[in-house]
Amino acid sequence: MSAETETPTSEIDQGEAGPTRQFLRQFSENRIAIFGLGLLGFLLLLTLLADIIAPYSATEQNYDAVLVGPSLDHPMGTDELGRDLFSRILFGYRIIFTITITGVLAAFVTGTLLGLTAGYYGSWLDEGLMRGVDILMSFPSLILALALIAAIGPSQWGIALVLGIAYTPIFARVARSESVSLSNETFIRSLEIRGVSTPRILVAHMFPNILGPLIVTVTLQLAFGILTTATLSFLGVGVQPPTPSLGLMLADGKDLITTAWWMSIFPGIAIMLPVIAFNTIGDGLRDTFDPKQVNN
Amino acid sequence: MARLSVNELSVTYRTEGGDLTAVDNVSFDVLDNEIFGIVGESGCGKSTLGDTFLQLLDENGHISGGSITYDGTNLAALSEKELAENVRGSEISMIFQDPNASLDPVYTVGQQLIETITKHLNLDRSAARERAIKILDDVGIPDPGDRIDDYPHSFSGGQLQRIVIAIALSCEPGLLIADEPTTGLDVSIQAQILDLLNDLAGSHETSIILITHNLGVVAEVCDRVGVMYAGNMVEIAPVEPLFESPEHPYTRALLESIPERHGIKEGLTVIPGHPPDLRHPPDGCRYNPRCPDAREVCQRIHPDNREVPGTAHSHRAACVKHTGFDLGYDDSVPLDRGDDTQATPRTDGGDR
Amino acid sequence: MQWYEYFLKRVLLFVPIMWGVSVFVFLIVHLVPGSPAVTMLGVQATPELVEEIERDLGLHRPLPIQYVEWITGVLQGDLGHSYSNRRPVAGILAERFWISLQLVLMTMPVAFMFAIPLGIAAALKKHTRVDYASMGIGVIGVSIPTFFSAVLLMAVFAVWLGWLPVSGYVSPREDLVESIRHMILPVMSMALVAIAVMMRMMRSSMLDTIGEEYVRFLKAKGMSRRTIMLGHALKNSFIPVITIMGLQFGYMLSGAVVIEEIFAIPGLGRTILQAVLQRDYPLVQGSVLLIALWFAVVNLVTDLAVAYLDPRIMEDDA
Repeated sequence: MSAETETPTSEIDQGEAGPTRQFLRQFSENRIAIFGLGLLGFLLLLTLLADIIAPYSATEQNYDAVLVGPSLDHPMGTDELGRDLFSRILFGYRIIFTITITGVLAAFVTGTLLGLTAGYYGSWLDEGLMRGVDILMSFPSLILALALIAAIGPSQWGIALVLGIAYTPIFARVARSESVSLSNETFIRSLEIRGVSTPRILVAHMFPNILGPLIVTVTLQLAFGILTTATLSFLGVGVQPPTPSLGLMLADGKDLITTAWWMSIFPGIAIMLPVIAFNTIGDGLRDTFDPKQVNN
Repeated sequence: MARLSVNELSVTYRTEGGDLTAVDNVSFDVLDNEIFGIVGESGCGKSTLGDTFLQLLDENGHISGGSITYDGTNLAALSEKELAENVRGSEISMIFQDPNASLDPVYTVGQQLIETITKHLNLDRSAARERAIKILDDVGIPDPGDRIDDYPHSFSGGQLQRIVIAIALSCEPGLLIADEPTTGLDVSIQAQILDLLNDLAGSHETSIILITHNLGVVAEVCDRVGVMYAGNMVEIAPVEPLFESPEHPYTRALLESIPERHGIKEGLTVIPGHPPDLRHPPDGCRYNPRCPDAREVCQRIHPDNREVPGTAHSHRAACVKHTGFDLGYDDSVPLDRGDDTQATPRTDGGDR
Repeated sequence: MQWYEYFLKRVLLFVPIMWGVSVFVFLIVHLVPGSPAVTMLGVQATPELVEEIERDLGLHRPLPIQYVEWITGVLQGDLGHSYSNRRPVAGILAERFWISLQLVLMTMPVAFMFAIPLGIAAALKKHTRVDYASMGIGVIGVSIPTFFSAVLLMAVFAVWLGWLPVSGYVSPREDLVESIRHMILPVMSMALVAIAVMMRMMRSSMLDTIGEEYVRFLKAKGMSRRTIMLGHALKNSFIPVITIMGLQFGYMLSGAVVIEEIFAIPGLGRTILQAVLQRDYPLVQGSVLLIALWFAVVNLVTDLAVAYLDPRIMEDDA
């Protein structure tokens, strides 16, 4: 007669789910974040397939179809030069994604490198780097971007560079803060004692452990970056015509807003979508990493 | 005369997987000026039980049966407001495991003490402050007159727990519930805190319910003990008889597994199996799947906590094996365990 | 560490950091390829004229000397003269800064008034429709570009409905009512993002606090829900919110650039923008320096306020 009648409690039965799988499972319970992920995927797909999907080119002018509202031919209308807005938005996405992702990644790499080493070595390296960070962070990022753009002139890669410089301090601070607390952990100390080389400790052991908060920062900075890029373009110091730029499209459209509302509304919404996506994903990541987990 | 009387108390949680009865039909009394220990593994329901007295349960938990009588009133029937005004902090106090987390970090310890005193006692601010300083002194905080204005982060863990105890006893409650009060502290501090509780309980004439998983703590300060398993109170006895002649197989197994009881070369005893999922508890006695003495009757009958006859003090156990039950245990077929756990020899209650 | 020690330490650090900022500002502006002389002369630029102007402006001298000259001037209140209109930079900045400050000072209370109650309500009614609605508004609020919300508000209230003026600035000293009318749309546009950010922080902070163990102990002590929420939870929840408020106050100067440009308000933000477009070095230098100073001061005050409220901050100093 079998004696085993009870069901084991769920924690015991799970076996050893690794931290990555546990993390993925917890994250996937956050429906808003998953929605954001889906939205982002969709937008990226559109961007990659822009050449195929876009009915017109981004620069093709058609004087017979100037300021036409949304129609079958032009689902988002045309602008004052007869250019199809839908196509321009698709290509504009390409530009804005490229610039922002490049800039944020550059900042991520540089900032993490600086912060990680500063936190690990401490003393004057740490002090010096962090004062440098403090100096850079004394400027609101848009102002810093403006000042830097003033120096190098508006251009696509210029903006990417500017974003890279402006956002490096944020990553440096996060990386440094995590690095400082991690350096004191016993397992790091034991690696040192065992004679493991410093670069190896930093790259193979410390870096993976600080990745969590950094990924959150990457996501949120991507959201912020898109807004900044679009704002710079709107102000006229970003991507220059005729390259399609969502911010610039809105700037052109704003004076005609009562007659040609589509010229402002569609680009505006187009800018918001990836920002919403990155923000919701970032929020979801942050909640999943948070040990307290109260907010969901 | 019982200070607190718990009668057939049941507490149920509503979970995604169904209803979970964490405390099932528990009855016991806490007498005047005694320290009553409640001991068991994690998940046995002792913390839930502790939270129930002052209705501190989570949102999805509620009292599904029974009563808790204190000073003639059924605590289970009181509203939130009545509890806050008349019971919590004034008649019954509670302290928790982590003293650091129990205090608001942005107020001084004095402010938190005085806030409690002025809420429940009719004292003006300076009288309240004097009383607060005195209590800090009673619990052993040096320089209480100065330290009263310090923030929690400037105290050690042991000191914080003293302060928490001070707050809990500041309004002279009749009952103190202490949920794992020493678990987060250093071993040396644990003993000090337990002594403190013992002394203060005596001088303030407060009864204490001490919830813990540590039998050593129980042996140290408790007068009587209740053992919990899977939501049931399976044994209640004064501390010495419990340790010397336990009546419930689970209690025996717990005592066996204390490392100090074994010699150096002997293996540690482990209770095989694990506690049941309380959403689907086993039929009959909840311990039967792991019990070396289990027999067929144990799978049918869910024993209540019944007096073991023939003992000098009151000793209750929820096991059909003892003579308080007459359910044909002896004639029942032993269950095949498949491992080589030794069935314990049958003893009579009076054979000491 | 006591608060006054922390205060001293932070104030003393302030000076070298501001010095670093000034060097940085100077370098950005002066390491630019292309000469302001060319911009100034425009079509008439010939190599000789360009060189002459550069000599005039002292641009041929070694950088460190130019820096020292500039910084000593700054410390005495002289920020040079604008290339575009020859007026002293300090004078220009003084007027414009005051206008931007008006904008920011009007926006903060508005944002606060909406964000805090909404955030608290969302936390207390967690998982109800009120909560989901405010969370949704929150996400959209932080994702909407300031220029988009400004254009939309302008389109609806000024152009379409005609209730409010489309653009422009009127000094409150001239006409208070008109001044306010002109400020309503700019303030609302700026406030939107601030409200979203602060509301989200208030909600999340409040939820964190309510879940804390000491709230449980307070309940066990017999404190009323009111005392727990208003006396304890609120004070604790407020601390991160104050940090955010401080940051927002500083960031508003960024947002001001866009708002001032759209609504044609002659403030500091618009000044920077135009100076950048016109390569007006002294003006760029001066205004960026001023903004950095402002931002740094706001951050300092915020940190000190937070340290005063939550003494734990001073223990682990980053």
